[in-house]
Amino acid sequence: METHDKKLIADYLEGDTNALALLIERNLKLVYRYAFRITRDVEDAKDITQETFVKVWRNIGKFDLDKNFRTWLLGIAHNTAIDLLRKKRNFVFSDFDNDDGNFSETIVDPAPLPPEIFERAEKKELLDDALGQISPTYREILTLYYEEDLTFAEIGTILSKPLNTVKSQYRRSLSALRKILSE
Amino acid sequence: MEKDYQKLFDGLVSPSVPARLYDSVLLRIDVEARHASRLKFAVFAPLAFLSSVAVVVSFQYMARETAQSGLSEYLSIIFSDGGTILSYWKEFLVSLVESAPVFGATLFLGAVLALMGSLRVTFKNAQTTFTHIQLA
Repeated sequence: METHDKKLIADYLEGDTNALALLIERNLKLVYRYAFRITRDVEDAKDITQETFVKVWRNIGKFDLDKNFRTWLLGIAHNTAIDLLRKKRNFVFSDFDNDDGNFSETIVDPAPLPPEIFERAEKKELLDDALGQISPTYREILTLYYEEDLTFAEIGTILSKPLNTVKSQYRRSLSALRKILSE
Repeated sequence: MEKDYQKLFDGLVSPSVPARLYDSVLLRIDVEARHASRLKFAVFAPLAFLSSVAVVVSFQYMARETAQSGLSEYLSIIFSDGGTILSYWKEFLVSLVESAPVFGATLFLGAVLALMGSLRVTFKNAQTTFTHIQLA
């Protein structure tokens, strides 16, 4: 998939305008899903998606074909989401990034979910509600890790955070989620 | 442990992409592209005009400089006294170089390059300014 996206970029840079349309079509769901998970608002997610692809179009000539296109794309979506959320409401930036990310050796791995909680949480609305109650930072990391199957290194690239910070926030996000699911 | 959470997330319903979002993205890019084209056309079309004036003026200057330099006389010696030229070809070359209208030629070349560059950008953006970019 990554190879195909890069081929489309190369074709577009050589003058094939259809290639850009195809590239957008292939990645529209990815960006929209990501934007929706962060904002949990359809209109905001649409705005972020549109703005993201406009920025992709403006900067596609600068994309390094040796790099990972998906992380570059989601990095743009991440920054666009922060900008939009800042403008649209009384958004405290620290809500989005309230962890200094020091990797603490004392953070215990979150325990596995007890079966009864797991069974309850399998109800889709319950997990979705729980995600809505954790901070955008944690929601973002869990979405990128579990829904988009990205590695911690890739997540770090998207969020412009060191690897240890991502791992630390991942553990905290699981703890936060588990706590809400247990209630 | 992670398998539990992975299983949970696998069951999470993916939000469906709103209808027409794809079209609105393409339309937005189209609007931005035409705006950028119009801007480039507005900048480079006058530059092309100014460059063409500069080409004419610099050519006239170069012609005047050439006439005053004596270069044409040196060149005519090649046809009238070729043998002498061959004997003193090094000195002849030095004289040619010294009399060449370097400044005028540089101005003229610069003006021609500026004209070619601005014409290229003007025509490229005239096409996209006045026709719709079809992305799909």
